[in-house]
Amino acid sequence: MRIVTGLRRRSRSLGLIFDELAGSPLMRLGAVLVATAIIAALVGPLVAPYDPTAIDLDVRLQAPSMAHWLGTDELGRDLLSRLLHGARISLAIGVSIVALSASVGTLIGAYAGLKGGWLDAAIMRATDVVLSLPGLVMAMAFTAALGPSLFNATLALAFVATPGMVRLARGQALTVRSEAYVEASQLYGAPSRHILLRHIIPNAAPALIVQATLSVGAIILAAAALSFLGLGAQPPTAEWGAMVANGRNYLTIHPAYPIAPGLAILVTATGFNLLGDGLNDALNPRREGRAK
Amino acid sequence: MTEAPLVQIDELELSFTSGRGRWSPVVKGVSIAVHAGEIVGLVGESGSGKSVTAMSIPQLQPRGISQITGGRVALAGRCTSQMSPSQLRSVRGGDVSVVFQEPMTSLNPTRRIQAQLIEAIAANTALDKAQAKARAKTLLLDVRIRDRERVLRAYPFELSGGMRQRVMLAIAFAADPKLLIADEPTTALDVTVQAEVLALIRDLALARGAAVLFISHDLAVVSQLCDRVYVMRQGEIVEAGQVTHVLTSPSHSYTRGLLDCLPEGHEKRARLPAPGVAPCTGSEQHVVAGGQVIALEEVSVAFTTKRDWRGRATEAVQAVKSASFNVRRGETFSLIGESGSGKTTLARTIMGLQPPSSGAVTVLGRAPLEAARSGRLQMIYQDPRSSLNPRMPVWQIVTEPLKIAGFRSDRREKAKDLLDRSGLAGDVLEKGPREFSGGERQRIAIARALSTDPEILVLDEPTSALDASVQAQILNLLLDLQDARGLTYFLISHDMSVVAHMSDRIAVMRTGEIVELGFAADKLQNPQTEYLQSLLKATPRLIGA
Repeated sequence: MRIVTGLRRRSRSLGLIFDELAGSPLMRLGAVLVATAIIAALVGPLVAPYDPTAIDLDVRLQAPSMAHWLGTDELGRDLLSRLLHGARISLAIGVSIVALSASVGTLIGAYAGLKGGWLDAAIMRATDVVLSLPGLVMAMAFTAALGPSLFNATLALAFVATPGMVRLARGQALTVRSEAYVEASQLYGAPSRHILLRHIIPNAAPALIVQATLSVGAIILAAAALSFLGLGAQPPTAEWGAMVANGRNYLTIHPAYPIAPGLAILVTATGFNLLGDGLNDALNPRREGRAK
Repeated sequence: MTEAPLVQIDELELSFTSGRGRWSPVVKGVSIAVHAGEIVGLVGESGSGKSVTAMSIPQLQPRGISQITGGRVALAGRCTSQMSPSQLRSVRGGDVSVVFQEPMTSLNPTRRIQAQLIEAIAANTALDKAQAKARAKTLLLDVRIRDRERVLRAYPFELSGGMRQRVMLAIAFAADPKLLIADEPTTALDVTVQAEVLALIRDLALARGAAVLFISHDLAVVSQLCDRVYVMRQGEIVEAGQVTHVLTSPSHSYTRGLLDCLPEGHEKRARLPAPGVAPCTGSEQHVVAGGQVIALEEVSVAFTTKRDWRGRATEAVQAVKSASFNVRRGETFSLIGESGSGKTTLARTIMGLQPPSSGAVTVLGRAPLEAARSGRLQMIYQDPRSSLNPRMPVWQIVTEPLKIAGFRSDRREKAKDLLDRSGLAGDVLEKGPREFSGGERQRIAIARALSTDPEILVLDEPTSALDASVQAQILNLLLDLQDARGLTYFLISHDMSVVAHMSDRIAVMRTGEIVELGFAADKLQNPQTEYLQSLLKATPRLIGA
């Protein structure tokens, strides 16, 4: 019963999203691209023809062929298999970083916005400090300091991605806080936890979901950049950014090597961006009441 | 009139889409004629299609989500729906001007009035800058703005609502339009300002020979301004004719209902006839014999507007100046006054939301905030859209005070019971507030307020955002609840007819001071102060009713 009613309650937002999907070809394209990436991440490793880390020096740097659809790299590893395995890593990194930064950022930001005062000011100045430095550069510095690894790169990117979410959540909280239903709730003596979880976060959610979806693309790109620079995924892990980094040395003799993972990054990041844009249009509260 | 009308809408049909390719008709075969120099009213409740009908004249109906499916809209004999974009531009800037309800959103907040006026003038004339500036001043003179130099230099936020609406009228008349479409232009204004702006519209239109299509939900306003009136309901014209004729002898039951559900002309506390309610049950004597439940002693509230570098207050605005009165158990005590008079601040002080800077407030013998926390003191807000969380199902909204107080069980049943008592029956528990109309939402808000078994309800303009027929239903509900449970109401309203209908006693506020206090019947019959006299005089009354 609870689940059914919950679904019915949410059906309005879902309806809006499907309406938007039906009406916007760009959002449909985004959804298809993201779905492709997700399917690749889920079933890719199962259908991959070779072990992505199996070295076979006899078939180094082969051009695409029937045996190796995308060819092989400088150690004779099958590029298609590496690409499919890489999808899982890239998506996992992108989604986990966004999930981490969005949840932490939402809680901190919404709390700061609700409470105001010195706490709010302190949190905002702290986000200013982080936001004042270029995110990728700071993530590089952190990863280099912690030691290059995929885990450390994830932590560093989550750290630099959080302040943006804090700011957004705070802005949303400031808007929702002035609504009469929050005042009414405070009059009944509601504790901050209740107001935060029942009023502020549910009403801030659409904007936060849109922002989170939009940032998945950027995060995947940033994670690939860190790996490209040798700070993220370490050999022999199959990761798109690292593959581009290795492949660029062979661009002239084996163009498919760097271009294939580059295209994969492009497609996934674009997909999340288009999807986020579409969600923004679908969940934009200003749409409501427009038909008057 | 024998000449061809200025505006001729013939059998207009218009549909809105809600997405997924579904279209629903909103305007169903509406025909309207406006002759040159005539003031015509278009009356209807929200959602009747009156605004979109009028906006179809300059082809300003919402794009993308609406489409004209039939009929013809002609302006001075030319069909506007077949005009090219450049032709439409000249119509919009030149022949037709529009004034909306909220001048704050119609004016650009980042530009000075002068620039916006000159822009409007320059778009329609070939004047140079100095000439345009001179013309801007003349226009402000025409809309009776006295300190023109200040207004020209001001940004929209520095002006009062009435002043902004005058500026909008100046912009609207900049191009000497043949037709002014005024869409609820005075709904957001105080009664005295409303009276001035209405007089201004009438005089300007007369002086310049412009026709006015005046859209309103308020029959009283229309009756004072217009020559002829069209009554619209659910996309159809149900009645049309001379204002005095329509108001005195309405032929359609809907018009009769609209007129009948206004508190004006009914006995005090009588249940108002409204759709789905048995006709008038007759009034009953309301006797108040209880002790005092709210006591204010010399309450002042000041807001700091400037601080020095150490954060100490150096300048303050006195929002409430030493207010003293008692409210007795079971009575309806109303606070009236114009916006900015401090009545909302005083209500917030009584709720404990705004601590007084001096003086003492006790509610039920306690501090206000304690009374609110205990649930004995509850509040109903003006706008039920913002007082209900759009992301909660109704049963959670209604029982939220109980949950906060620690009751966790049987919340759905409790909610059903409360909603029944508020007159909202049926399978509504799991719906979200957006699925309800304004009146239904206000019923939900009332159900929530009743959940803690309150003794006092603070009602902040509880029916101002509602249509007249819905207002009647909510007033009936409030009266029924008061009779059944002996509730005490502290009512804030700017609507004199609502106040007269509901109140036992009233207090009149002006710039933070209570200038009159006494029994409602007495005070409204024999106002002592000029201020209350002017408020009563400015209140639009139905002509002939």
